[in-house]
Amino acid sequence: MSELFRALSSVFPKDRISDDETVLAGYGADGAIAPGSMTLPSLVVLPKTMEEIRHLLQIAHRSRVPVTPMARGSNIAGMTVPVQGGVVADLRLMNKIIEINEDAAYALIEPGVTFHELSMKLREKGFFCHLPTAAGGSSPLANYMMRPSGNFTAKWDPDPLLSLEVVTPEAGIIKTGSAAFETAGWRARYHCFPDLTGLFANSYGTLGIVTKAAVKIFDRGEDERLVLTTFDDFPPAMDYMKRLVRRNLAESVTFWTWGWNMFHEMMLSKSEKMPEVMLKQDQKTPPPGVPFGIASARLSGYKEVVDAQEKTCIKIARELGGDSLNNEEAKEKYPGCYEYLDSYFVKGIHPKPGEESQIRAGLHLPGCLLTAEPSKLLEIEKFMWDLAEREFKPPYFYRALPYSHGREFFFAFVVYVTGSLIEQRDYLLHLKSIYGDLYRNLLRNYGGVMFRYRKDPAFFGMTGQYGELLRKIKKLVDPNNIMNPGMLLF
Amino acid sequence: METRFNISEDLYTAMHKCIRCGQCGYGNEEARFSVLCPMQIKGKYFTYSAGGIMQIARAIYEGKMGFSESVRDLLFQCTTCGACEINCGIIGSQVDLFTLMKRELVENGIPLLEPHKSIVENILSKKSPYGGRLPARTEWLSDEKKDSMSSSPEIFYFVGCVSSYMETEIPDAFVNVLTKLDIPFAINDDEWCCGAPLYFAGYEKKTYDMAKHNVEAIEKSGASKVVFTCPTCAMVFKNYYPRWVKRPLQFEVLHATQYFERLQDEGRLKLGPMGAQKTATYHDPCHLGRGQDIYDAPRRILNAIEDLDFKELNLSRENSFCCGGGGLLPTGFPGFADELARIRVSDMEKTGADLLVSACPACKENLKIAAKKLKRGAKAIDITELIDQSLQ
Repeated sequence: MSELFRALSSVFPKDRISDDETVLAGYGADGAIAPGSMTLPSLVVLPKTMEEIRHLLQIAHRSRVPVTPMARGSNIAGMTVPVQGGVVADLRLMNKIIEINEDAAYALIEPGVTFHELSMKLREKGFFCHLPTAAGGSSPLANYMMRPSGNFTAKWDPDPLLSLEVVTPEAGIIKTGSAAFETAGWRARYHCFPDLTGLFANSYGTLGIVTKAAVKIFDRGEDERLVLTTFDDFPPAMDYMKRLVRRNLAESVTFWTWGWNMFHEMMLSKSEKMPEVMLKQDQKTPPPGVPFGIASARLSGYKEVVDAQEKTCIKIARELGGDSLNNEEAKEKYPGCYEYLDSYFVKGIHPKPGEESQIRAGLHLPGCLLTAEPSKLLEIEKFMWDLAEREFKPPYFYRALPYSHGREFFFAFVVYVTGSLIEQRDYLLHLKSIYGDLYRNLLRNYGGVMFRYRKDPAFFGMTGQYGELLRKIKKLVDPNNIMNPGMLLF
Repeated sequence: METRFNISEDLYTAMHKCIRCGQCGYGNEEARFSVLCPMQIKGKYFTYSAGGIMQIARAIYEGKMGFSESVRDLLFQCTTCGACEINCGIIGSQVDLFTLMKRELVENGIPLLEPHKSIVENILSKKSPYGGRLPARTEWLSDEKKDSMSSSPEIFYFVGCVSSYMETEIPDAFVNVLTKLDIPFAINDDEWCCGAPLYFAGYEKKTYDMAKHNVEAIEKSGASKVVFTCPTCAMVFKNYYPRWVKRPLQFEVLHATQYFERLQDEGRLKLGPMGAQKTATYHDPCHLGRGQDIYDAPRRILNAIEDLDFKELNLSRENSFCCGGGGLLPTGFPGFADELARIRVSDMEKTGADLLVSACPACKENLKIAAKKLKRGAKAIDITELIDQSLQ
């Protein structure tokens, strides 16, 4: 038994600490870890309280042992893989919904709570949470810490975080937002001093472990509706989304190209086989009778307002050459697509089978996942098509959605690797080599910033004094760099 | 000893596709908030899940660890219920992949758990998983009914080991029904184990002889249909026998509920009252539901019984929660199997049912034991017994 195991055994009962190789193996890789690159931790612990986490970090800090926190759900970016070994803190047993405050519209949750659990509870109360396209078993707290895409991104900004409770190795327990004041509650992100919630957001577990978060929730309103509009090209779809969002007509608008939409039809039919047409060489041109893409707008509020908003959406679409469908038409023409979007945007529950089901048909690899200024997105889209035609095998497609009231766009261009991964091993390695330079080129040439950090220290190095300040803060809260060092952020 | 891991392309692809999302443990549709994977009920770590096993396979393949008794213990806590296959959006063939890993455990010299070792030895020597002095296979069959067997049968009844030796009320009821309906049938006095326990223990090659023996006996009978009251036997016949005998089967494989549903449709089976008003709920056996996609037939039968008030369980159909009776769990980890059966009995009793109906002898046995231990009044019963009682 290692010294570390002995020390941590004083904190965790024996059924919540393990150094059994078999148990450790479960934590050694995720969808992002290349074949042959798995790394196992030395120990896994299952904390139940903030106090246990405090003790864990004190011991790890003293012993200079890396700690990788892991909440629950999809992992496709290697963020919770202990690439430098050490301890994995699996937070699944910290799974309480502590409070749902309908009056102040927030929920106070622990990291082990899942989207399924939170959305179900909120549904009972007529509320809704920000739903990204991660699996329903994912942790809202962990997902929100990384600025998710989802159903309220246009109107409310993709930032549902308010106050946090964070345990750090050196600085102890920090409460941010209004919770910094003992009597002020968890309701607000901002007060009279700088915003520290934002400091921890997108820190990927490198500054501490978040043990509680107050997150925004949304009143469902009297009416909720989707408007689906087909477009034959990307530029008018972009204009459509910008107009809707800037004029405050929709809470969220997304544009999905034909291949992605076909996936939804495939999911509804429970087929695991991609239709031949999705594998055709020319991926830019949809099959006859299929629109290039579909924009879906979520509207909600008083019925009279939603009626008027819907009419306005249709009018704008018509001006731009789009073709809006009413719900009945959409259900009939694109049943899979409609069901998927209706579940997310109207019912407020992760579709099941969900986004992850697409992976049954192939390995989902984000070729490009970034945010960019609207004016640059058309150039980025062209750049990605050109790259894809040169380097990717079909199928590949993208979706785009406005963030921050249309000031920037999220753009996800993905490639699916189908068939046996043994046969595709060389192709996968080739893709990996392309991705190395891709984000740096997109930043340099088009100002596109990677949506989530992808372990490229050079990218962080481009931030100048901002990065320097962050490094100093890191030194203060985690001087021994024990917090998720595998992210290569510090 | 150096680890050898002969991996299939499917397993290689699956273990690299798994994104550890954890969906494999949850139900579908309205059961999306319920944990259906029995391993996840037991184990707190992520590793106790289908996704966790995928990572173990990968770690072994990458040489980070070897096969061990600890890997064996985790693999044999999987009941092969197949909930992960339905709920994982990514892979969908987990049970076969886990069985492939069990085969590799054997190849790497990892000993089976003692009870499983006995089962394998018994099957190889006595053609049945049970040890000790066994009665004749068809001891449950009265001489009178033996006489009613036909040399030109309409169906061949494959009884299965659990029914032959443990839950004999089931085959007795099945034959009663056939006799009442004047359906000529055949049973093999020298039936061998279907091979499922060998397969699920990692000894697939040793099933070949079992399959050959059983198939030859059936074909010799001239029956065009084989009917099973055990869904596991039916599932291995359907899904694995063509591979094990290396040719397509020359007969149709039907579970009893499918066969009875067909007789209902043909107007040959008419169900009336049982004689006393009862409330029943139905537990979908994993190898019948998720294993063969048979959900409606048992419900049609239960709804046709006049004085039976049928109540649907909260976790049912493809979201059924395993009773713990499968995957060699009751012998390998009896405490865990018992825990699962108690959960299921409690779920079933919440419906207010007097009768806990299933369509599988192993499920009936596990539910019966749990109900007794819980000192509950509800009775575990097989659907075939209900048909026998309500046949007009």
